[in-house]
Amino acid sequence: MPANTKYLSSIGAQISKLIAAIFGGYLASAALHIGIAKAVPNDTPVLLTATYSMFLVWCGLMVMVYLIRKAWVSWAILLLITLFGGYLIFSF
Amino acid sequence: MKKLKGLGKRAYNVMFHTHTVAGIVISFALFVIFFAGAFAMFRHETKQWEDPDLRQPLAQESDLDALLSQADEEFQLNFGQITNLNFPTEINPAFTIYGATNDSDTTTARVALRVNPVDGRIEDWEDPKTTVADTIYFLHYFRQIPVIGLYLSGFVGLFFLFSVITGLLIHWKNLFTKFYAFVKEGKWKVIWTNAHTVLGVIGLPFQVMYAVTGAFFGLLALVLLPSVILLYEGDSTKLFAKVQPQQAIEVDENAPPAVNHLSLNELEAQIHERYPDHHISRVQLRNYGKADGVVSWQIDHENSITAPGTISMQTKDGAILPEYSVLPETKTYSNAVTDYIFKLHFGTFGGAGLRFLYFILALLTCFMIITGVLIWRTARDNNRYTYLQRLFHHRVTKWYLAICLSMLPAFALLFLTNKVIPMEWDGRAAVVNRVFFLGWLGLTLIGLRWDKYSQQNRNYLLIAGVLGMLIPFANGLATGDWFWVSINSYPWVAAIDIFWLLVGGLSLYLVFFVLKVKPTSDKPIPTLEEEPTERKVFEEPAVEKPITALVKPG
Repeated sequence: MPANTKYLSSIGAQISKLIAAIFGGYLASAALHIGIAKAVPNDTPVLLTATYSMFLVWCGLMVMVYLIRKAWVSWAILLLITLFGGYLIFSF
Repeated sequence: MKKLKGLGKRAYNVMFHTHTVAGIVISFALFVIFFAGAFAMFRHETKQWEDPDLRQPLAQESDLDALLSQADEEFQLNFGQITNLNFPTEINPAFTIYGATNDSDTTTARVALRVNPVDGRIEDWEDPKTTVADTIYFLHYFRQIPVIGLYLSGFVGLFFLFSVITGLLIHWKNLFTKFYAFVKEGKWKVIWTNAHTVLGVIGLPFQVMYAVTGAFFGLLALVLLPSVILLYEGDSTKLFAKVQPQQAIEVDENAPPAVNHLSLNELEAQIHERYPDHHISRVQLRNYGKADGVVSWQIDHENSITAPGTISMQTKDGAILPEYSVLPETKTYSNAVTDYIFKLHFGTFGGAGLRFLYFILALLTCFMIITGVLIWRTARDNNRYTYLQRLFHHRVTKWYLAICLSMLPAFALLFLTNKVIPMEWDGRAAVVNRVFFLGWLGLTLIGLRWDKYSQQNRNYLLIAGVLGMLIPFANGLATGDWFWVSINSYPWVAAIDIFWLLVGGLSLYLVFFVLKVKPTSDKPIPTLEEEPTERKVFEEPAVEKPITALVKPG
């Protein structure tokens, strides 16, 4: 049975969510991993873990974007994660 | 059966929708990846099958120094550049040298040479005569598509992971029931759905592992690029050197020539003494023949996941350089991560049995991908959809099935063509590849003319069956290694012949005794005149009138 359309977002929101999931998810996941790598004394193990955990976090964020009803809330959460990662990158 | 707490109504529908869209978008690319990947599990075995030159017993002891100096004599190797010497294996009994040669006074060119340790024959390996295994392996990550192929395959892996996670969330509530839902009765939609979920649940660990490691290989650049820019001033070798310390070895190009250095044979004996269980897979030479020469031995063990290691030695005294070595017994997490990912993805930690299991699981995943498309189409095959919508669903499914199901006959064609075209022909590899790709295209286009999925399925199996049955005979006629003889001398060559014989026989058995196709008068979707004048509103309970293209077997 195809999904019931009454639960799905409008076309505009869907495009916004698609971009948020793919690009926003990538940026947030990358910023978070690099931030943690920068914040710990030895970055190598973190960066090597990132070679697989980055995809898991990225996919997790994609799912999150779709589970949250409003696209702008997803954007806000992704932005916060990216900013947190950026803060770690540039303050350590 | 125990039930888990599932998603809420809205979340369920949203996840269902994203699962459908992501799945349909990647489905046929994912099928190609898994199908080619399954065959690529045995690519080294296939190499021995396709190339009669590789059918010779493994030389017990090889004089490394002699074969290196012979290659140097014939091709003027430049040992100032990194030179790798790959060791022979049971199924590839030749050494391969990847090095550089002086093509003018100031420039060097990379060369790949194949050295036969038995008769000492050296061939230029840049232009191989046969590439069946490589063609399949490259197709597995779309290397034939210039520049973006690898990234494309990486994104397919990423969205596969997304589909797996959303699929898991959808079926979370009934996860335990689904594990046992081997139902082969009822409506086609029920059969496809059960097959899809059962294989999805059972194959879950396998599929998650391949989704993640596949994304790793395809999208590593996306992971490393920002980290290297932000943490390593854009110099990626600094990061790689932490993973593979031998990459950080620095040599002086003006170093004086070596005097009284240990020979490669003597250094090799030391490695064998220290790691008797391991075999050497490769040795990397840096400034070989100079006073500061270093050789790095790569060792491995087929039945262990922790085995790979690198041991760097000075050629002047054989001393191990710990800062440039990764000893299997003391290696760190950072040294091991990429080794593990490689071993997991290539299935090189549990012998041939494990790779065979991977082969089966990959084919089951292919079946799961197809059932997903069939669910998508069958669930839309009712009068809630307009004629044009249904025609679109039907055409998309027909295209997908044509591309996917024609792969088996196309692979059979590839194997067969490799034996039909004589080994002596110049540029034969390119001809074989052209036959394969044009053959696949042709088979796909023919398949679009078969309007019923059951017809596509049967006809492709028929072609695959006939071509597959011919393969062992073509190999026997072309090389003289009939499988009942080669089973004793080169078991893998015989195994591939027997595999095709079984696949061909099974296909023909299915075609003639199991599968049935409905008479062609039966249209899979209604014509324009039959379209209901009033479309049902979506919320109403469905009036299921599946007009299916498939007929129940028997």
